[in-house]
Amino acid sequence: MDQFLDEAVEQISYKGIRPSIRRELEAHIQDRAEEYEGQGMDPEEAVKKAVHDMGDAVVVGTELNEVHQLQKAPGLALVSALLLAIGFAFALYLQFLPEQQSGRVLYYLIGAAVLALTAWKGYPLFVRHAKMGVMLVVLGYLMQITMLLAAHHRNFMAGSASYTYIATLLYAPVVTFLLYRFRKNSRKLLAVLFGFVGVWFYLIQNCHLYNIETAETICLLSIFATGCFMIHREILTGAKHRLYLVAAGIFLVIAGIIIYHPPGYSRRTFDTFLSPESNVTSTWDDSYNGILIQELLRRTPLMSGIELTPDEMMDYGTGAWYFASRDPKQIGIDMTSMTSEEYLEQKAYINEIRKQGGRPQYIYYTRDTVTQWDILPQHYHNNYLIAVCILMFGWLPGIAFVGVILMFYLFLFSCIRKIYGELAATLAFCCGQCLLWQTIFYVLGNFGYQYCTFPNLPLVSEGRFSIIFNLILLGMIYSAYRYDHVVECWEETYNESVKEVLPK
Amino acid sequence: MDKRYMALGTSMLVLKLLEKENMYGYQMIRELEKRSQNVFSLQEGTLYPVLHALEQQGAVRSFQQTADNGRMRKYYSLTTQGRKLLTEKTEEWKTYETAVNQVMTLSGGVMFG
Repeated sequence: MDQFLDEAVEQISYKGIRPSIRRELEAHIQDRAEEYEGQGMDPEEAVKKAVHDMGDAVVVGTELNEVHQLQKAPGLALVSALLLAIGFAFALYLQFLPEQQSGRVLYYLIGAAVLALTAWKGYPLFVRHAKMGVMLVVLGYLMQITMLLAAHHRNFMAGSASYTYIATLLYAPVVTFLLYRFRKNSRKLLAVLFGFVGVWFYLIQNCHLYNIETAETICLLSIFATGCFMIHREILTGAKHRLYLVAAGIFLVIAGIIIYHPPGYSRRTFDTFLSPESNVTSTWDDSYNGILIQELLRRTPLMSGIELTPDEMMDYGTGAWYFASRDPKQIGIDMTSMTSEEYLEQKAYINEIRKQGGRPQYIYYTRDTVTQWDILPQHYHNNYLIAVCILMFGWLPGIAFVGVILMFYLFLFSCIRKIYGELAATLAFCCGQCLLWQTIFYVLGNFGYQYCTFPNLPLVSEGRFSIIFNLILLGMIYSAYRYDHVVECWEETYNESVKEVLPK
Repeated sequence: MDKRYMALGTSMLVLKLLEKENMYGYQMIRELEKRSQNVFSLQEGTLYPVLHALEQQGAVRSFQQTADNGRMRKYYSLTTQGRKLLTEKTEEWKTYETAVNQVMTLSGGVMFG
């Protein structure tokens, strides 16, 4: 028997799957041998005959090897590399502009290495050490809750906003994992959702210092979409329509809390998102950036970049184009080439304007020195890469850029759709949702519809921790897809389901 | 029974067996032999590539359970997707069967059925 089993599993190229296949074939041979023994055959003869019944070990092993192959996703790899190269090129370009101080090129290189490592070993390591990983994440969150409590009670912001932003996004795969883990136990599941998640959202919601409403929204949308995916795939079992209703109910309750609590603040954010023009008060507003970008995009030709005269650029740079007829107090004030006396005079004038509700920007360029970079919203070019691409090169290259992004998601979700393993598919879908919603909000912002703070454009902008974090998410999707045919899910989870479905 | 003919129907038969209850590989072989009165007596090892491929297509789902004798058994159950696949395969089979019957009838031979 050992010879047959050895010979069969030796044909399977991925060694990690060999033990479980060997166990399954061995159990089969033992069952058959027992039957022969029951018919009066001596044990040695029974095993020999049972092995013979299995057929040719090499044929069985070869056919199993065809089924259990590591999968490759060359299309997705190519588009990912293209997007990463675009981000890298942009960061490199911005680094040499005097108006910019990007200096984030290195993160793209580290990110590419992290992506390769995660894709190579991420998912199997996660499956093997999931419990330890969850414990570390829980510890991390306890730490963060302490930070949030400190921020809430003492108005003191510990850690950086970007860390909290990323940690909030990371909450989506963590909650997804808990959903998966407790999917057979509705009490524990509800306890997790309303206890763990509730506390977290309450704290985030009450800590405006971190200003991470966008991350919170993306996290919520990703969890909700993943929940629906789990219902669709029957990973969450039960009457589908009832489960969808429960998911929609939970989503609406949390979304309601995000939009309506505390009164005023979030509602305004939502209104600004839907109608930026109705909320513009000065050139410092994000909603002003939205209408400025819409105005500039309207003027950009199809095949070439926008062309503006110096006067027009000054008008846009100072905000005069919009505020001259509405609220002249908001128009930027020239602060170039001043003597100290003139500077003091100007400061006194600005203070007077401020008392009347004006919030003008200081303008450090003139008609002779102004460039297009000066008129872009608040110089946050990282937030407007798509818009900047259209403004610099015309609509067609901009649409091509959006096309590459679209293609990336088509390849990504086509890979995720093919993942069969329940845990792998669930996690990959959730990671894909985190990437997708960031992109959706980023793209909307680039066309003037900014929701709260700007998210990042995964793989492209902006090149710090977010690049690395998003590449880890992408790496996990690659890895889950790559190992889908060779990694087996947790046995104890299945044992729970066996108790329910085994025939009595 | 022609081996190619057998291979064509193996996955359909496996799905059909799982329609009513969850089974492990050896149990399926036994059931197949019993229901076909030992006509379907395939080389037992070749069942597993079929089962594993069906699992990867999402047609069946597997889980493990320790038997009373301490042996670990891997059970397979049919998914909703598997039920759809079974319906499709049954339809295909009927079309094939009808075509064969028509040829045999025209040739003055016996009918399958």
